[in-house]
Amino acid sequence: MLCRILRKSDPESFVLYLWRNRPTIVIGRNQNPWKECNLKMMASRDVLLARRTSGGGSVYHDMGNSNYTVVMPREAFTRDKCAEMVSRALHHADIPAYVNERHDVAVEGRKISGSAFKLTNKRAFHHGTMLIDADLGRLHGCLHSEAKDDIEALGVESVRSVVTNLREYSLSIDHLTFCQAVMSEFGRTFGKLDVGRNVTVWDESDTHVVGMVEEERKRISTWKWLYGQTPRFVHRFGGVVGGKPVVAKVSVYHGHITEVSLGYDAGQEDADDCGVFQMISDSLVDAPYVAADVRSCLGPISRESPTAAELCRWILEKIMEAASGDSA
Amino acid sequence: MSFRVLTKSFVSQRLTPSLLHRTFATKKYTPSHEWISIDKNIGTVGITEYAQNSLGDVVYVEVPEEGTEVELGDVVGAVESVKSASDIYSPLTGEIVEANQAVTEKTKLINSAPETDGWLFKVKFTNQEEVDNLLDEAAYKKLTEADH
Repeated sequence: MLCRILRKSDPESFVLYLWRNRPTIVIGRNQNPWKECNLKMMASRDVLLARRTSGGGSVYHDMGNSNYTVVMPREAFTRDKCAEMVSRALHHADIPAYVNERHDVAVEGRKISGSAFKLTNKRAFHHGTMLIDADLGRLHGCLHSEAKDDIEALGVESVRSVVTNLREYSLSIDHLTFCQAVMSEFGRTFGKLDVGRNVTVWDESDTHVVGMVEEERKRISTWKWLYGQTPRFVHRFGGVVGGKPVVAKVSVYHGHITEVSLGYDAGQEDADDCGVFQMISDSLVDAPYVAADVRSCLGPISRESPTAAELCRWILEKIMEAASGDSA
Repeated sequence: MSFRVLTKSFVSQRLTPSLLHRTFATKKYTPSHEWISIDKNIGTVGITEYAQNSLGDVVYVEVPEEGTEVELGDVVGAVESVKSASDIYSPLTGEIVEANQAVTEKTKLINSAPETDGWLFKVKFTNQEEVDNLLDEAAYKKLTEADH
């Protein structure tokens, strides 16, 4: 819906969009899900993965988190204007919110809202989360990848902050009262808002609206967008296989393995070892960086010899620490 | 003697506009703050000093793949700075013949040298009219001054 608003709205208009999601980790456009997220844990807790088109880091959405987006003419864009608008909206609920140096909204040093931005040639948008009553326990651990320190990536890393829910500061605030407060402040900031004419409310039962955005929904659900959009990265890991220290380097681009380099740490490879290393490397090139695909590529190689089987098992185990996501 | 002859030859040769175009690359601009240096039928593209200044510290750069066919106005890359993802547009229709991989690894080049080492890609174009429609330096300067 947001992409549709960005493309179809009057270029001179200011549009406020307020929305909520089922439990989802939303990564920024240029982030690495394998480095940012614990995909195994997310799957076990029914937390979805989404990638947005704006920049910035990873955030958590559920029905206790409300999102606001302001779409505006490109020349009207500043990073703090909308965050300040939302802070003022919260002041009306007696919540002492302010905008911090990272353009996020905070209360007493704790982040309640993360911001991200998108700039096109004619339009821009600012969107932010607002943790009202989110299930932060469900989130805990989902943003900690076991392979985080082994992955060197181009792209954007999240900056961790201490977060809190608005519920700690107000017993009465909820999604509806937050939306009403933000709409009022939006009208005061950007111009008169005629609630009767200019405000539309819909949900998943509004099939005509869902139909309008179906194409975009499909596009952002594809593996190509969720995982294939990931900037170039290298996953390095080491261990002991068959009593020998071994090092591996897996290079990945557009979510597919482009090169695998294997070797014994002290250069102890013999001709047979080199042969196995080469077979493993060749089998993995072009494979999606997904455990199931890696397993299927390594299957035939693991039957070549006991050494090959041990190496394949080890490689799969290390890649599974990161790459438990959906198949391509 | 020979000097006088040489001088006479030099003076009689006229520097035509086409000769100037072959000798120097011309620089053009877009309203979305890209610069294009035109050399024969190749345009080298980057973002302007004005653009990098308003973006802030660049932390990520995406350039198009070499060999991609693009049309005027297509989104061909991206730059991220201070949590803002900005689209980069192709100012010309043609084929991407080279992309600057160095800038994807040293993203700060966009801030320190946006109009030289921070170039993004080169496009081989066929439509001279698209080039003629781009802004010249004076028109672009007027645009950026109007923004203030």
